[in-house]
Amino acid sequence: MNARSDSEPQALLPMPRLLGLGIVAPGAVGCAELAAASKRPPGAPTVERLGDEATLKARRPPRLERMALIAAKEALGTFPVEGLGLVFGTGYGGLAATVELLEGLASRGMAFGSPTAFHQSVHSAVAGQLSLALDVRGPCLTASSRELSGESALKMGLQLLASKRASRVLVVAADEVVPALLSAFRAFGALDRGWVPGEGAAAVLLGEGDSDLSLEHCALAGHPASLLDLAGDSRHLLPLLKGVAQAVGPDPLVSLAAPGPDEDEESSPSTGSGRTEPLPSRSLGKDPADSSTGAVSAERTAVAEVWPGAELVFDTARFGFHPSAGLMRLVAAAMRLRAQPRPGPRCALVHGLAFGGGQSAVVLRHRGSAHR
Amino acid sequence: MAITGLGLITGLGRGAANHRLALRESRSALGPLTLFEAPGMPAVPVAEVSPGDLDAGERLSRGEALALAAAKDALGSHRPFGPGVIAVGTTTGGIFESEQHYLRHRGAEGAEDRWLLRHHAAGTVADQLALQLGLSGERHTFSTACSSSAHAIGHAASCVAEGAPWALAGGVDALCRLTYGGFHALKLLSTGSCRPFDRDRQGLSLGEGAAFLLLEPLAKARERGATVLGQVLGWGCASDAYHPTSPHPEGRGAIAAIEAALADAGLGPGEVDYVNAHGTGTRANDQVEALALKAVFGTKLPKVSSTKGATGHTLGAAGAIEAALCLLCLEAGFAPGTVGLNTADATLGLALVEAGGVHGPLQVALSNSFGFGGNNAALVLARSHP
Repeated sequence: MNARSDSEPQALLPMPRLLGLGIVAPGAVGCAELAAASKRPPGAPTVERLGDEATLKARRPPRLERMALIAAKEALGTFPVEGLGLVFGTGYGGLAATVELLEGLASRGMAFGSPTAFHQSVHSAVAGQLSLALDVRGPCLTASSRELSGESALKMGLQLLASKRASRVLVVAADEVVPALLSAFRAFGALDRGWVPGEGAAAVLLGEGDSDLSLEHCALAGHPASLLDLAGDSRHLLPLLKGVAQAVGPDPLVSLAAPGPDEDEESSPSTGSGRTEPLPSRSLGKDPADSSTGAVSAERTAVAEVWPGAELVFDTARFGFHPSAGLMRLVAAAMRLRAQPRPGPRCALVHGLAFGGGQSAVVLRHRGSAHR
Repeated sequence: MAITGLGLITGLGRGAANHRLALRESRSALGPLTLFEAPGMPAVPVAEVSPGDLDAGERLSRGEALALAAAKDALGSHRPFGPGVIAVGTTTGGIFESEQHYLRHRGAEGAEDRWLLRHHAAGTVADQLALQLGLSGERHTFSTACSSSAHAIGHAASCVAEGAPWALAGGVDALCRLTYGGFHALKLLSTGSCRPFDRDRQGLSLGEGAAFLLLEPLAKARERGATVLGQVLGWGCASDAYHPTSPHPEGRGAIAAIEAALADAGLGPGEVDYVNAHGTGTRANDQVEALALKAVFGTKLPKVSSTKGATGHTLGAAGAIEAALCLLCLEAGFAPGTVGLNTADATLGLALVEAGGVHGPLQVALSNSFGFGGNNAALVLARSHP
């Protein structure tokens, strides 16, 4: 491998353009439907409808695969697949297939397992099917990094571009909800505190080309934390946010990972999928002992310290809190930058949090309406 | 970029010394299944990690305990300073514990033992390593079936080459009912111990284990006086885009991955001294892998062996375990024979390492890992130099 000299600072990966976007979200299949749905209050973070079934292959694929394929095709558009790398992110993989296997184990015993359910439960099964459907023969990776699976996939994709293993990369993330998952969230008290798992899929196509959007920065970090803890202290979150501050600029749009604002805060007219409002200047109070509640205020405290004038977006209310939601929020942020162009460049920061102490910061830049 | 730490735990034991000896003695870890019951299923050999090889400690999933043992051994007394990269390859994550919860509660909450559910997500292994070892930085979990940890190592090496100050990379998988029953359902399990590249091979034998490597910039390793164990010279990855479970019959993706790894290493086929094959013992894999190796190496085919007859097929951990075994072989100048191979399949046309292994200088090794869905990885590893 070509290595850089140790005296050189760790360079940022060269940042590509966003050449395509795709999404399957609660109440919306595709970016156009999401733009319309964003004008309505969010409902349950589950995908009820998957669009035109006739566009899919004759074989009826599993739900997770269908969501991923729809988003992937929308993002890929008419770009060729030569030189394309594919990175798929999923926190839980084919949960429906996994539960089917477990149920078979419990009711019929190990000798009667379904071979189809088995290979569909493997996390990379969807990536394999995407590569088949799209005829992608280049690098094909699957990230399963808890609630940062989409962001982890994005970083892997950027590494493929930087190392020239691919000339373009299609990054796709998808997760699904099944009753057993809700049961687990309930058991750990997460539902009561507003951390509701959702489902959906998102995709971005990255590479060189003409686009009004670019991916300026993608940073992941993590501090040692217990498996069910979120970052409950803003001090843990600040180093990463300060590290991207220069790339983001002073007046960004910031998509927060935590659930929406407290009920006693005044609301402002919604202009997006959740609520958008400047960060309130009053104190948010001390962090409670519970890390999930503490994470809400820790995130907002940290963001307020770095960007006091940030426009906050709470897309987690629409998409839910799940491993693919970060990439979904990135697509939504990109759409928002396009829908609200300013004369000059403007950035969106998509912040991510994961149980176990993970954190991410992804920065998008829109070149502005004055750019020719 | 240098490899300065290595930790390894399989059914053969724990640590480099145990594995060196096991390879020299052509030992197999395959034996009866004791970890869980498999009623109604034929008894097939598996390679379980001995309980005595795991550290006692707080309540970890079996996968986390395996990973932690190997990661601790890789780090030794050294603790990397500042944020780096943790890259883990796994397919099962904490499914062994999730199975136990589901069998008791069938998807309901089961409050009294809900701690079993904490480990379900594949990414919890990386989180647990960070917590137990006090490490900060990026965490990536690769889950591409049998090529998972090969990708983890390749990605980590790529990060260090691009400037990351350190990376802890490897993989883990524990035996569990789902994979045991799943491979049985796919009719891929051998009824006896697996026999890679054998004329009468019937399928694979499952194993479990973990391996981790510590990677850092060569200059930094020298500065702190670390022993350099080897290097990751190249990583190749490619997709078959052919079938959900069967490999491309002409080895299309495998060929592309191997060629990409060699190109990344800046080496030609004639510069590889030894190939640690994916060599699962299934009819399809061994045949396709042989085709791929012949297509890439032509008349310069190096000696080939599979170590899965010794360790079992450790699924997501295989790439890392076999990379670690390659490093031990490079250091020792010893290419192991294929445990379980009785009569070589002459139709494969491979230059297989003789039974019992062969001594001789080895500088460069290729390690193949080919996963479900045509997800192919290849690593090129080199011996350290003083």
